[in-house]
Amino acid sequence: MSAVDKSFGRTPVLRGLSLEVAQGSIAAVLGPSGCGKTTLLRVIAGFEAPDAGEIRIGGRVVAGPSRRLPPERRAIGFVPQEGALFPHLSVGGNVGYGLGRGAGGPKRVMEVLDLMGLAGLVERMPHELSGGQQQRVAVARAMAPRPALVLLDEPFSSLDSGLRREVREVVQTAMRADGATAVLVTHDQEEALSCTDLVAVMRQGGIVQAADPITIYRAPRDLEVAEFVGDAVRMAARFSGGFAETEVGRLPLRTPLPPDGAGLALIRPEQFVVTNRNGSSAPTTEYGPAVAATAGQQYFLGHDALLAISLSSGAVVTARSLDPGPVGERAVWLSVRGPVNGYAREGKTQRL
Amino acid sequence: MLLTAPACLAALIALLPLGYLVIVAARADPAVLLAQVVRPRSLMLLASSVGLAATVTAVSVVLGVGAAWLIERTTLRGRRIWAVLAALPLAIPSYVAAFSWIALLPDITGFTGAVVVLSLSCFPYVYLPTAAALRRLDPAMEETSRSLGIGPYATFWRVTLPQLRPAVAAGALLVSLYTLSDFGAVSILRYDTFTRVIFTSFNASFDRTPAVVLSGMLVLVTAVIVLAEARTRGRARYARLGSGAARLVARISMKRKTLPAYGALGLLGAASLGVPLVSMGYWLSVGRSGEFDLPQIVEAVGGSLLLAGGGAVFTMLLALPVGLLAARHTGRLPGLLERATYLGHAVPAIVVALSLVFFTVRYAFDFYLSVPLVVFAYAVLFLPLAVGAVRASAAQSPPVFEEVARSLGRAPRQVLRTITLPLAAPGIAAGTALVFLAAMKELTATLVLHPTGMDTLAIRLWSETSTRSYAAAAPYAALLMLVSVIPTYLLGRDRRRTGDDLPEATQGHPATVEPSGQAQARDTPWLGSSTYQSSLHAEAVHR
Repeated sequence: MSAVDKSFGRTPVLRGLSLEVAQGSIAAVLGPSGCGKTTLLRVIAGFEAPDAGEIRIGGRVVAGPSRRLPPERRAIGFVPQEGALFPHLSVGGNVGYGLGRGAGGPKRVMEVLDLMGLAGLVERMPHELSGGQQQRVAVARAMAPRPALVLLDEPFSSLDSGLRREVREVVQTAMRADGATAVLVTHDQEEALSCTDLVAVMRQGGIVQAADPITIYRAPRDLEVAEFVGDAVRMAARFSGGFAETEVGRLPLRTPLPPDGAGLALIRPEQFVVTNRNGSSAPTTEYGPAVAATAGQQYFLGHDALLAISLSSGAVVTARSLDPGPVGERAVWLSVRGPVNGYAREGKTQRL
Repeated sequence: MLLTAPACLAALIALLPLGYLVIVAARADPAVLLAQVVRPRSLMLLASSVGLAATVTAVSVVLGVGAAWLIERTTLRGRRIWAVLAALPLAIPSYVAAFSWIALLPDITGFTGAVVVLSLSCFPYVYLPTAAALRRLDPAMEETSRSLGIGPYATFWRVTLPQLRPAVAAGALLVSLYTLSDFGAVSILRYDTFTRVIFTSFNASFDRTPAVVLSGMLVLVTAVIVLAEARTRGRARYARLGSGAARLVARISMKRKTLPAYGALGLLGAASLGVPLVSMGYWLSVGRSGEFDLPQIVEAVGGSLLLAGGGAVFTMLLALPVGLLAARHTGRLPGLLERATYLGHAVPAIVVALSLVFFTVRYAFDFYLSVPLVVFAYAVLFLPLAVGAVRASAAQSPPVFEEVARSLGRAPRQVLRTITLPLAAPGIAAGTALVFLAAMKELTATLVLHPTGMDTLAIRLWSETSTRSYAAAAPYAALLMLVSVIPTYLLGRDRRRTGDDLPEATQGHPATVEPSGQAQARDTPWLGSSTYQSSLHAEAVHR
C-alpha cells in the first residue's frame, strides 16, 4: 500500500502510510493502542475506504482513486481479535464457509484443520472449543480459500500468556507450510519479534520503521522505536570516531553512525555485564575497562533478573543478569558488551 | 441498500393511519373542527378520559411501588411466588378482566369500575420496572444513609424512592397510555372515554367529523403525555459509581406489621387474579348446562388463528428489514425508519382502525372490512414488538461475523442469507410468536375491521358480554386467558435469562457483550429508558 490516508471525521488516523509485504512472508504491524493499526487492517480488508492512496494485493489494485473492490472480491482472509466463529456452524462449516461448492471443498477443510492440529474437531460446535482452539479455527477459516493475504487483528491477545505462545507457534508453522502471506497487527513486541519476517512499527498513523525483527531490535531508527520494541537505557554520550564516550566507558557504536558531538547512547539491559567488586583497581574485561557501581534493588523474573545499578554520578541504570547474586546493596563492576546505538539528540529527530 | 427499500415501505405502512388522519383533518373546514372541539361533549370527554388515566396511574403507582418494596426489600417469605403473582395480571387482557368483574358484580360500572379493573390490570407496569430497579440499586447509598442516622422508612423516602423515579415514571407512562387507549374494558364497564365514544359515533352515524375530531384530540393528549414524560425525565443522573457487582441489600424486618403486609399482598392477588378466576369458573360451571355452542367456539378459534397467523407473518416480514437495519447501521435514516414503526405503539388502536376504515372506503374499497385489512392493522399495531425482537437478536451477534463472511468472498446478499438471518433466527421466531399472541387477543381493531360474519375469540367475548350472556362468554374468556399465559411465561423465562446470568454463548466471549449493551443504550426511541423495551413486551402480553 502506498501513501494511504484515512480520517474519521476530522481525526486523521492514517497519514500517508506506505508498507510493502513480500509474498509468502508474515509481517507484523506493531504499535501502541490508538496508533491506527486496526484501522489499517480494516482499510486493507475493505471494511473502510481510504481517503487517498492506493492498495494492491498480489499486484492487483483493490483500492485506489478510481476503484474500490468490496471485501468479498479482494481475496483476503480476516481473523478478528476475538475469532468470531459463526456460532451456528460447526468447525467444518466455519472453515468451509469461504470455499465454493466446487471440488476440493471438504478436502481443503481437512487439510487446513490438519495443519492447525485440529483434525479431530470437524464436527464440534464453536462453543465446545477452548479459546486456543477457537482462535486456530478462525485462522484455518481465513486460510482455507487460499487468499492472497491473511489479515490478523491481535488474534492472540485474548489468550493467556502460556497458551498465546503455543497457539502462535502452531499458527506460524501452519501458515508457512501453506505458503500464506499474512499481516498481523499487535501491540505485543514479543509476538511481533518472534514469529514474523517483517516488523513495521507504527506511530501516529504512519510506519516509522519496517525491517526484519533483528534489525528492528538491534538498530531501531529512533529512541521511541528502540524503547517500544524492548527495554532500553538512555545514557548521555559524546560521539567521535565511531565510539561513544559515556559514564560507563568508551563504547563502540553500531553503524550507521550518528554525527559527532553530544547525543544519547542506547544500551539494552542485557548488554550490561555485572561482576562483584572486591579490590580497588578496575579490571579490564573483554569488553573494555569496567566502572565502579552499586547494585541495589533486584527484580527476580525466574529466567533472569533485573538489577537497579547506581553509577557514581547518581544515575540509575537497569541491567539484566542471569546470575543476580545476593539480594541487597553491594559493590559491583559494570561493563558493556557489544556495540550500542547512538542518537544525535533526544526526541523524534531520526538517525541518518 | 439491500434492506433500505423494504424498510422504507414498512415505515410508510406504519405511518399511513396517522398520516391519513392528519390529511383528513387538514382538509376539513377549520371552523367546523373547532366547533367540534369546543363542544361541551368533547370537553367533557377530555375531562373524563384524562381523569380516568390520572386516577388509574396514581393507583397503579401506589400498588406497584408498594408491592415492589414489600417483595424486594422486606423479609416477607415466598418472595418468588409473590413476584410471579404480581406480574401475572398482565396476562389477563383488560377486557377479559372487565368481563369477569361485571359478570360477578353487575353494579361495578362507570368510573369506579373502570378505575378498579384498569388499576388491578395495569399496576404490574409499575411493579416490574420498580422491582428491577430495586434489585439493581446500590445498597451502599442506603447504607450510607442509615449510617448517618436515618431510619429505614425515612431512608426509603429520601434515598431509595428518588433513585426509583425513572423506573416508576416509565411504568406510569405506560399505565396512562394504556388507559387512554383502552377500549374494551371501558366499553364493557360502560364508562365513556374517547375510545368508547369514537367507536359509538363511528358506528352510529355517517358523519365522520366527530370521530376524526375525537381521534385527533386523543392522539394529541397521548403525544402531550409522552413529551411531558420525556421532559421531566431527570437532569439528575441515576447511576452507580465504580464497578463491580452490587452487593445484596439487607432486608427490612416488618416485625409487628408482618401480618398486615401479607394481608395487603394477598388482597392484591385476590383482587387482580382471584376475581377473574373465580368469576370465570363460576360462569363456566353455570354455562355447562347447555349454553356452550361448540361449533361457534371452533369457528371463533379458527377466525382468531387465521387473522393472528396472517398478522404475525406479515408483521415479521415488514419488521425484518427495519430491525436488521437498525441493529447494524447507525445514522439518521435507520433511526428515523425505526421510530416510524414505533408510532403504532403510541397511537390508540381505535384511531388506527378508524383511519384504516376511512382510507379503504375512499381509496381501496375492495379491502374494506376484509381479512387483509385486519392483518394490515395488526402490522401497524404490533410492528414495534417485531422490530424490537429482530433488532435485539441481530445486535447480539457482532458485525464482525458479517465482515469475516465478506472477507471470505461472500456478497452482501449471501451474507444476509447464510450468516445474519440464521443468527437472528431465535429472535425472529420469538418476535413472530409474540405478535401472533398479541393479535389473538387484540379486540379494538379486530372489532372495527373484521369482515362481516367472521368471528374471533375476542369478538365473541365482546358481543356475548354486551348482551350480558356471561355464561356464553365464559369459554371465550377462558381461552383468551390461556392464550395470554403463554407469552407471560415466555417473558418471565426471557427475563430470567437476560437478567441475572448471561446466556452461555456470550460467556467467555467478551465481544458479544458490548454490542448488545450498545443496543440497550439505543433502545430508546423516545421513552428513553431501558425498561421501556421490557415494558413493551409486557404490554404486548396485555393488549
